[in-house]
Amino acid sequence: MALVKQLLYRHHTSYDDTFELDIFLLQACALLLGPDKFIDICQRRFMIPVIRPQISPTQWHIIFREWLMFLLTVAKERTKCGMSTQALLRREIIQRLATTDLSYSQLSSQICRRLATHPEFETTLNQVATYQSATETRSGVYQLRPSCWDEFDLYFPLYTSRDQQLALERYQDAKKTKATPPPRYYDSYGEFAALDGLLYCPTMCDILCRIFGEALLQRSGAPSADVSEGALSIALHILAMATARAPRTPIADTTRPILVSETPKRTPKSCLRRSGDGDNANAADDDDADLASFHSRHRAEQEQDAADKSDDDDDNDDDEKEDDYEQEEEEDDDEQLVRARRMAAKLSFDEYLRTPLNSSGRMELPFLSILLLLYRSMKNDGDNAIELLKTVLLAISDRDPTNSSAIRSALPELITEQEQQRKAAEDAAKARKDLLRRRQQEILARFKNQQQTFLESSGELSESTSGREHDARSSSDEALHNVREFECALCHVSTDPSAPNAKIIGHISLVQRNRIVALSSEYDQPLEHAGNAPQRRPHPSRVDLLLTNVAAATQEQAQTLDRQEDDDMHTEPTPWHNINRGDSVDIKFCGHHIHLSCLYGYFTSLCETYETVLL
Amino acid sequence: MMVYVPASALSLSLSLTGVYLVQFINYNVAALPVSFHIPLHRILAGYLHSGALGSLKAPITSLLQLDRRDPTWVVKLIEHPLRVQVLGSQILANLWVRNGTTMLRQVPPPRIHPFIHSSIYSFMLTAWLS
Repeated sequence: MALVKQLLYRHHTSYDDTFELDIFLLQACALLLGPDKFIDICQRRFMIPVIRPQISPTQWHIIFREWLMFLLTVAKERTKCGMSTQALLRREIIQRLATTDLSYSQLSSQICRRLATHPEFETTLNQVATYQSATETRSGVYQLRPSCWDEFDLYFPLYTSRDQQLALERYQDAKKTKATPPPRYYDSYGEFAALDGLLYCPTMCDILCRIFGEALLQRSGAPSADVSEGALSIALHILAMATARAPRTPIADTTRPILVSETPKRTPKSCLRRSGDGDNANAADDDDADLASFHSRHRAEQEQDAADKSDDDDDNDDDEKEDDYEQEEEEDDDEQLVRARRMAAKLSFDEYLRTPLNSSGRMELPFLSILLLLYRSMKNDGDNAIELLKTVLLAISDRDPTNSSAIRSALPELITEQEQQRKAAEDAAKARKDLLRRRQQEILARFKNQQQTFLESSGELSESTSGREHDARSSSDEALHNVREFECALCHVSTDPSAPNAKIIGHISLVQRNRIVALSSEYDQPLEHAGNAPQRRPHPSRVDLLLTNVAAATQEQAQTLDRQEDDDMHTEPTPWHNINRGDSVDIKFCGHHIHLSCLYGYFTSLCETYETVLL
Repeated sequence: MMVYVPASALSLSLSLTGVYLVQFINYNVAALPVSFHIPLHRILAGYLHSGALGSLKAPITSLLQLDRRDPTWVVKLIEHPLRVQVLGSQILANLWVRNGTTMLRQVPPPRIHPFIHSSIYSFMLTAWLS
């Protein structure tokens, strides 16, 4: 039932009022305290170094993994501090459908009511998923679109371990890869953007360095080292996010807490001793009376317990001495830790990666060296997490030239492989662009040939002064020379128009009114007349939009014919008479051909049918 | 339902955290009472969320009226939500597997019952503000 209780805490009926509010409050406190303090308090509350010998290795792996997952959640979760409701709804649907295909009712019951009753729920659902119709053995379900797998977040805070495993398997099937998905970044709002400091603050870097160091020892066969694959994967995830988000300035510039306690003038060790000397010592520094009273009570209880123990057994004195000795050792370790973190805070993230910090005795190897050794070890073992580590190393290489040269000297194949992949990608992109450009040119040339052929056959543009039209005509002649026969769309008989006694064949075109084409700027100008004879406007030199020009030319022709009618001149009936005056025409070609006799026959049959219906 | 922790179970120590000196409340989640129900903290979180990200858009320090040199109050504020997270991780690690019936007696979160949601929350908010 404890497990049920824990699941209920993150259940869809309550997580927006319980889990999310708790995380938001912790995020606010992390901002106020600063990332270093916050992580240290969390580490002590989770009893990470203390609880390990008291529990089984399996339990230790779970608690350690949950602790890292908790830090990652606080650092990157933006549900209450930056994400819009629409973005939140989209993420929820994607994350739920990533685990399994769900019906509408199942999906709406798995997310909180605030989002399930959102008016854009169905719209968002249709954007991210496709509906699979019901079959005899299965009800209709929604399936995540393949493109939406890029938005998948493996470390969704509301996932159980089972959900995470299911979603990872489906992601790998969809992407056809064995790699874990890359980290997902969410935009933050206002002062909550400083939460990124949790990812790259010195304390977190120290934790990550220890994890990777222990993983390296574990792979080399050290019996004391024990890091689970899950913890290593989360640590890589955090490092990838830190590499992407860390600034190039010193870490201390971006990880300062809002609330700054007064810097103690005495050393931390003396502070500890002074706080233990008397009850009033702590109360003088601390304004909170409750905490001081807690401390005084605890001191009194400790003294009472010590007195009882001394009365009971004299051997305990030796144990207390040992405890005091261990406490002093811990204090020495703490002082070294403080010195190391002070030094690390003055460095930038890139400098921290390559700095061994030997002066404080904290790190014998630079962080980057540990990562490189771990990469070699994982490559030999064929680990699935190597892709993410490879991505991290390449990102580190891109950030800083010094680190890049170090990675290049240690792992030349990694950089070479990256450059080869980049060059291959560039070549492929260039080849694809060239292919598309050639294809587009071929299509344009074909259209020009067909239109020019049509215009020549209709006799409208027999005299052209434009050299470009001359080129187009010559190219159309070449096209006609190449293409001998055209197939009629009605009788399906191929005809060579150049053959003697051949049937007349032409393009099928749709001619219709178009007011938009009439707005062509050049043709809106008044025509110039030389006396009473209409003068044809020179064809514009820019004939990119051939259809527009042809339509404008036909409009001009129609206007010319109208003026000729007014002068009682004889005109032959043309198709332009069917178009109203003042409009322009738009001619569209489908690319098919038809015999003139077939066209007449078709119209005749239409008329006969119409008369039959009327009679 | 709040769990009142006996004062003897708590102690205060000054510990070194990073480059700063921070007070830390000694508390063993695995051995001392912890509850999932922290409604006052959640009301405060809702208040902060509305104030910092709503129409007011005020800084958190001004919303909480905090002294910038005194993180003690924040250290206490962080305690209960953090204990909930620790308890959750311990439950997942099967550290509480023998306490099944004990956990069964706890009431579900108030969000499930609208009546409790309206009454207990308002009562606790009143008590907290007074």
